[in-house]
Amino acid sequence: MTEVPKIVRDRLRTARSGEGSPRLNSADAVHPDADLLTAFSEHALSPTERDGVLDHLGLCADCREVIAVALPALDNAAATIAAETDADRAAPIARKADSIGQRSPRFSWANLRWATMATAAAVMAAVLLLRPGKLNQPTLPTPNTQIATAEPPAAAAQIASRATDQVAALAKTEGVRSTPEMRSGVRLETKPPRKPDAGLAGAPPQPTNIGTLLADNRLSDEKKGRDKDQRQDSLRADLSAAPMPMLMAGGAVAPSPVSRGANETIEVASAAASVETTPSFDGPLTARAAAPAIEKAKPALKEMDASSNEANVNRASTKTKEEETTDAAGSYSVAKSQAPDSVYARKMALPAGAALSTHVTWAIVEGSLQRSLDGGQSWQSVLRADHPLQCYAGHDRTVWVGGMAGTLFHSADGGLTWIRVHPIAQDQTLNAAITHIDMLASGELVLSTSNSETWTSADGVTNWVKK
Amino acid sequence: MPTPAQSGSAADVTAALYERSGAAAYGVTAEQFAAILGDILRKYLPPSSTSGSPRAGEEITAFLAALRVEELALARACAAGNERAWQDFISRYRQKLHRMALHITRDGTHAAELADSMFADLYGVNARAGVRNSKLRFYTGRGSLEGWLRTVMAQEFINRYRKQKRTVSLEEQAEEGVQFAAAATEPTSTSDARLEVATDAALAELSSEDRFTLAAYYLDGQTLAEIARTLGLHESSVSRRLDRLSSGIRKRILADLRTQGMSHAQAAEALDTDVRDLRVNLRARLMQDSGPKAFPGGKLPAPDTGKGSVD
Repeated sequence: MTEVPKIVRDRLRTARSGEGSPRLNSADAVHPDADLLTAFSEHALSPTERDGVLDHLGLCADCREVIAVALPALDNAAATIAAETDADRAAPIARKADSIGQRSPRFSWANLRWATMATAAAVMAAVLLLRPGKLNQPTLPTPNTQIATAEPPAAAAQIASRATDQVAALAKTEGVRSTPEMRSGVRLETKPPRKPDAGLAGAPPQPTNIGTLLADNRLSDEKKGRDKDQRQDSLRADLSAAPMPMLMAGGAVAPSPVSRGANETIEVASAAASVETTPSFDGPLTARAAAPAIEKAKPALKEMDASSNEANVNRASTKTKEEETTDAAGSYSVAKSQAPDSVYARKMALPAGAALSTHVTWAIVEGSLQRSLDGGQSWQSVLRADHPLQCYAGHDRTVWVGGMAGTLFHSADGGLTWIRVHPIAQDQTLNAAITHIDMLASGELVLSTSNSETWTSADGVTNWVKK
Repeated sequence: MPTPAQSGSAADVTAALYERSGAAAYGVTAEQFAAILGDILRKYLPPSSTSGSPRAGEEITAFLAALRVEELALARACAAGNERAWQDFISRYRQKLHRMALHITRDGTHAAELADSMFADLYGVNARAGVRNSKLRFYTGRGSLEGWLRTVMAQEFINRYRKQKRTVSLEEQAEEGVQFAAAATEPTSTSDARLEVATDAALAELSSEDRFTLAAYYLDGQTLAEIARTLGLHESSVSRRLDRLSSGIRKRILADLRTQGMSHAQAAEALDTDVRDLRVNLRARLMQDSGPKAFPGGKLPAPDTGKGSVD
């Protein structure tokens, strides 16, 4: 605000009614009464009267003070208008109040201005969150976009093809039989595996990447002291160098941020969905998502290697490279599911080398599944759900784990990835606690529950029969 | 003298206003109401202002139509002592009066005291010749009754504040640091009369609204929001107006000074001179700094030349 010269203030201050101003006559020296001052404040005077009052106010500090003290509070002004009983008077007064900015403070210009700025900031934050890496980082499509994708991208098809091959291979080697078509009523929820190092080009593609769980994987805490910025830098470098598209529901590929090192905190995401698998020798493994089941999708870990078709070969490659780049021993990640049924699973990442071990020993301690890779000398917590786990049945790398409230998980890769299975038979979902699991030689899975029911399935996934 | 009864249309307006005011419910007759309107007309539309004007009738009608006759009837009925009117007044304005007092005084105790005093004045505790002297009889309906009450309360508050200021104790003055305050300044007198003339001329050219804006902002310290609400403008408009006024006045004064023979530098220097600095009494200042005289007689000793004799 430009300041006026001090002489101007001085002359304004010394001016009095009837002196120093040729416009004023003796009548103007008389103070206007309360009625006139009120009408002036309420803009109810005629232009002539208003000019006369303004002439006086320009010279009379006392009346200016009365006007200033008698100014109503902003909320009172609105209340005064609202209290007008005469409908004829309410409209013009309201117009006057609006014109002088005496509307509700909630909708005042100042508040709207701040609200506009806050909205702009929120939009900017949302844009930065959804597009964190600008150009050189893969963009994160929204779940709906992924679901709406009619034709999966080429990379997705390629990875889906690899995943299908692995499913077939696992079915052959581990007795997990994939039926030509999953029946409706069976939902698979998978937690995508954590990729410990983006630089692992040979990381095996996992069939369980058909996501149904939104998981947050956290790696081992053995190296928690590592600098966070360093990790983020390496993460960004890995992302830009080797982005890993992740097979998402609907066949879309979601790129995922990857943190280097086994003790990184990684957020892995896939869309929750009910899936139907159609194992085909050549075709891609398709996943059809149920849109309501998808709540959130976060970036997945890293690009899966497309150079290998055989899962065992991939695993061997992963083992070799991971041993070179990461200290995977004892590392773990925490997976937090945000699936519709609010399954919170804590998954301890399996070292790549250990994942290939055929001598895996399982145990349940305090409601969580633990694994030993050295014949029981050391144990690692592998799976923790939102309900306590009670029983398991495992053979080599295949393991089934059951618990309270019908909790049932399956892993075909030694605990590297987990699928949550919801047995449904005769339109009834298994909700009772699973007390015992039997894996028959024929591949049939038998569940015993706390309410003396027996649930059987030929493959553990579909065609459940309750007895 | 213009009265509502002078013309047929004015009589119709008066009757309509009486009907609209609901004064009959308070025991005010049509004649009494017409007399009230006549008094208000005489106060605000004196005959000299409307006589000879071809549109006098229209002006009177417009003036009467703009009055808040319902609140006018209520106030005048209260002043006359009508019980029902008082009941309505209390129910409608009691809470508002207390809120007004709290808004003005910012203190609960003083607010209650001010509101009670206001009620007493409105009721007319001081009776003269058996007639209560209620303040409500001065309400003329030009503005809202609530606004009028707020204005009257503000006047009362200011008057009380000034009275209390005169009777403040010495201890309170000491607490407020009055003993350390600077002495009251004398009326301003600039050394160059041309600057005063130029400034007065520049101020005289201002419109009444501009002058009010300048005085309210620079002298009273009112905020832009307060000025804007008083004038019915937006704050930004007031801000722009103040910028325009301050720069315009400066240019006007500089131009006037240059026409009176000053150079631009001289005019700028004179304008930027702080008038408070001109009040310094240089003689007294120099006297104070020179210290006591060593030779009160005023005679200076003769310089010692080494040749003088000793008396």
